[in-house]
Amino acid sequence: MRRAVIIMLMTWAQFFGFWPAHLAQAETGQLSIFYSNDVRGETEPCG
Amino acid sequence: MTVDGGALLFNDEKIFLRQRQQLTTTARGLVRAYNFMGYQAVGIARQDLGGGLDFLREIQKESDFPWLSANLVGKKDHKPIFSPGVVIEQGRLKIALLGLTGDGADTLFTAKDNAVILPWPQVLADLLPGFAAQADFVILLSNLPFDQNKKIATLFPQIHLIIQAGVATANIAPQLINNTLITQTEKQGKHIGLLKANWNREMKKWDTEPNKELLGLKKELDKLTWQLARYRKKGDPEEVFKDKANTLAAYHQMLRQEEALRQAIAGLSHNPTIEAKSNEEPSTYQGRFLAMEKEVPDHPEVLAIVNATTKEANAINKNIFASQDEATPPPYLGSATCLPCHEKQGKKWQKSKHARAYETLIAKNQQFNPQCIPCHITVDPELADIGKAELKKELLMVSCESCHGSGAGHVQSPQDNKLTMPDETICHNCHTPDHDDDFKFKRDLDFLQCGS
Repeated sequence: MRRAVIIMLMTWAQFFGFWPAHLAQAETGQLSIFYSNDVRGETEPCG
Repeated sequence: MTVDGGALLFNDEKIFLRQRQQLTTTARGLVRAYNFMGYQAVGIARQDLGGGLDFLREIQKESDFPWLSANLVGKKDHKPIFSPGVVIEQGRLKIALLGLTGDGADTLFTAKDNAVILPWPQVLADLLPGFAAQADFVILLSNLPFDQNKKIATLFPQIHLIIQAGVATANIAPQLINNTLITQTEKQGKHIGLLKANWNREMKKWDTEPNKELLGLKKELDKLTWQLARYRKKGDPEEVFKDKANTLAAYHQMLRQEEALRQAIAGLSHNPTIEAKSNEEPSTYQGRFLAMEKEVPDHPEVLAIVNATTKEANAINKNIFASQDEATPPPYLGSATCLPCHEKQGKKWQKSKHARAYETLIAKNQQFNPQCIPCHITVDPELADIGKAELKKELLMVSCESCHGSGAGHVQSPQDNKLTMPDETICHNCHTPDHDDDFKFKRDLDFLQCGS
């Protein structure tokens, strides 16, 4: 079947649960890298 | 810092003309969300070219972050069309980010685009030394497959991290190849990757021999900490267990073990306070994948972007449906025709989610999304092109004919036109792992309860 192509914005909205950790970083040689890829996909936001 | 490897805008490198308006609208919504979240760079994958090169140029203007590709270049001058890379300061570290778009680009561009994707070996050989000289840490956002990234890691140890995009579906925990970690997150935004590095900018080397004894002690301490937490669950153990001498003695023993383990770990750790690395120590890392479960709270402003984008895309689709001519009506009758003869099954079905399948689309502003509709109405789920004719009121649900097929012949002569009794296969048309990763046929058939 033709599958749905759906944005994953709903999931991305949830990303902010981790945001404070992103802001507190890298004053020394420490580095926190949040990374993502392929965030689009076929999943539940249809309903 | 926050970066994206690519394959952000579209699922495919070519999109259908009819879907263009909807998909470009949602792509713009994604960029607005990324702007708000403060993304610092995004790689250009082949999928990001689905709307065409000019659309990506427009998107670059709307983005607060650079779109990176070192090998997407002009056909004649071989100059990068977008930024090949950037250098960003994070605390006291300078981080270089470069992008590579997947090769084999013959089908991606029109003649007017006058663009080409160059093979990576020459591009990296030319560009990498300049970026590496400016930076303490080098990240490559790569749209190439894992085997190619391994080759890059072997040839270019100046790259310290490769974030892969658009070529595989599962999480890949950081793997050290030569002096490069290669990683990627699962598709659909189900996880965020988090790499915590303790980077020695003088040495620029990952630690290839982590201290196994230290790791073992830390594991033991984790276990002990968990056990102690259980003791403390009901309050101060000294109070809770004051009448249970043996339990209290065991608790005290664990406290002594905990202290001993902490001292042993401090003794073995080169760097117990996680300060910056000295010149002689290789760099260490920890990789995690953070699951984007429903319990993770939404940020109200991102949620507002999401809702506005969905609403806008739905309005576009509504207009497309409204402008269509009435096509041949579908061969489905709707459940009202079935129920008088199949009352018992009908009553059970009416209590199921199938009976309200289209309502869930309305609730999410997706009722005109042609990519959602086939699995939420009574129609052949294989139907490639949903039109106005399929959106008849009596078909706006997943009903009997969705699984049993059209009842048009059956209603004329039931004995001569018996309907099929569906098996699990038909469910998988819609309950795919991508849409419903918790589907279990036997269990979920009980919820449906139509008795088939």
